[in-house]
Amino acid sequence: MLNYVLRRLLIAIPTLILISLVIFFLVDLAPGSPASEIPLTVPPDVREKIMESLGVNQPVWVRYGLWMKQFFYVEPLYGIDAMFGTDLAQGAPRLISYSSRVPVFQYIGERLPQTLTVIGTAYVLAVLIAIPIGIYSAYRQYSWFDQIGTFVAMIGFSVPTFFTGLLLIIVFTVNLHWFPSIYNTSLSVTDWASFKTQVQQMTLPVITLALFNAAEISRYTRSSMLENLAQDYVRTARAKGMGERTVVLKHVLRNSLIPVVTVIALGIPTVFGGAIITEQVFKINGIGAALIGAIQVNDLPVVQTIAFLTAILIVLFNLVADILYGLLDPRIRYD
Amino acid sequence: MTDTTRPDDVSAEGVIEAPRSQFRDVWDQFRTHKGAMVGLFVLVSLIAFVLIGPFLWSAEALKVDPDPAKMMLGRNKPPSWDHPLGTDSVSLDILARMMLGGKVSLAVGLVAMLVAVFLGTFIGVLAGYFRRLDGPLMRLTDMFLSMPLLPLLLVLTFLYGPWVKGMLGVVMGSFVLIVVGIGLTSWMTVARIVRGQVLALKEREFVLAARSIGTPARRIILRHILPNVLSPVMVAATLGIANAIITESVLSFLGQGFPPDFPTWGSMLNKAKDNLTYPMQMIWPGLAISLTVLSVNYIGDGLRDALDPRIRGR
Repeated sequence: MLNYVLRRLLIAIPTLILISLVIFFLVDLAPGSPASEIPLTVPPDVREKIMESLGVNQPVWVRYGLWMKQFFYVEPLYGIDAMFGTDLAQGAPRLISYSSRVPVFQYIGERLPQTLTVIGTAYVLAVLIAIPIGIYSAYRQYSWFDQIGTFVAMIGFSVPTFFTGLLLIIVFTVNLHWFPSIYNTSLSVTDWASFKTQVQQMTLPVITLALFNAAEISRYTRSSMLENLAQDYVRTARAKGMGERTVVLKHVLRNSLIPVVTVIALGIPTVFGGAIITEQVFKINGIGAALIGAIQVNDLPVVQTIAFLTAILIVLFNLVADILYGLLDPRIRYD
Repeated sequence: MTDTTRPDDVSAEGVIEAPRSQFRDVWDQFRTHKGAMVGLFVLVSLIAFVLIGPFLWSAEALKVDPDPAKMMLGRNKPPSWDHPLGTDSVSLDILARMMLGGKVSLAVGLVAMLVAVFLGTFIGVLAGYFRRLDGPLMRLTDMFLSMPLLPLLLVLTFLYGPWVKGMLGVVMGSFVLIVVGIGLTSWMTVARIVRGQVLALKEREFVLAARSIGTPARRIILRHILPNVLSPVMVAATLGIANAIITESVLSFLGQGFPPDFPTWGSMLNKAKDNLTYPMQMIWPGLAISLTVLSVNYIGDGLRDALDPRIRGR
């Protein structure tokens, strides 16, 4: 097992290097360079200096190397410094956003909590809803509950999140005035009243995302349960005289959850991608909004860093899913 | 029990049954899937609405009325006989825009899917058939699967959009950019499915027979392998249309698809989202996207069941 994990980690390194190359050059070689954002009235020597201060007048390879060094060496040092109050980085130049002149990681750190609260809650909620529905749907296959459940899952899976989000806004904000449609990032939860406001403003985006994710997970749970319910060991368990409850919730569920768990793990990074849309609909000031904003003003370091961080998450959770699969299913051997 | 005197294809009355084609079998199984039939009906109606509709309904969908007073008076009108779905914020007929926008959205979905399926099949066949290419091509597939696709697609359209539009014209440029972008970011599942199938097929006797009479690789692939990977590819292609339509509408919704005066369902939704006082302007395009994707997904489900020989004929 340890051998396998180590091997996978080693394979991940060239993959990540390739991805970083693709991301860096795709963004860097784009025709709209930061230089085009400088007004034409700026005299050439000043323009030269601006370019120099942005560090864009060096050759591409040097910039790529610098980006990698800052990403994997300098920024972690600053992270350690911030945590333990040390001074390992010693003022080494950090990754700086072109537009706001703030270190990119600090910028991301400011945006991440909003994304994590909303999306994390939505994902946890989705899993909690989806698994019981999937179990019952499969146990009573073709019952009215199953028919409705599969239909709703199909709808939740097909209707794009920006449409569900807008529909919820129309119903609950425009018509009923129950929930706000705009997420207030500066709200800090200090007492009961502010907690209530926070829950209120989270409700709509969380429902939007949870519906979409729950649809997918419940479909997986259902089909996995169905597959296992038809197995011989279920008949054996019943023949031994075990109660239905034990058979379904202990024997079948345990085996059915193996693929579901990996699907859940694989879904976590893609949730970040999907969150871009939800953040845009509800105007949440999170990572997705930061990415869109950065793309619009040609803030290349922010775009590259967020895209690469997402790629790292995807690779990481792929690995986690594979390891979980091996841990949960003793039939799988990685030798 | 065993009646050896009678040939197998003669039924009890001695009438020879017409041989059944595989297509017929698939269609018979497909018809038993209720959701898929409803989905097919909805999709065909939507296509008819988009293609035949403009011949029956010719209200202005693109050009804003040059007379500002007339334009202002005709804005955001509720449904009436002149405008069955009302007018939008620049007093254009929503029904006519829905038809025009649908044509673009469906065309993007179809063409992007074709690009993705072509790329995926090509890479999948190469990886499955030629052992030397297998490793590198599958690494490439894995790498694409690990990329943050939506952010990269956004980067592609945002940063390269003006350049491509400058070369090919605004509408054509957006179309090519979106179609190629979606195709480049969604071929991986097809490639994996095809590779798996090709790996299995390659070991079968009929391929061995073809090879033993000296058939060149190109001919084996085109004549013997491709027809046999068609069915899983068809399912993936159907689901690919749904994926492509959603991605296009996401790009348009984020303001990065087609230019604002050129309607697609996604861009109509984007325009209407800032005008929520008139929710119907947003509901029509949203409903159209959702219905299309829903019906395509159901058709995909039905097709998967129909093409699966283990289920068919039960």
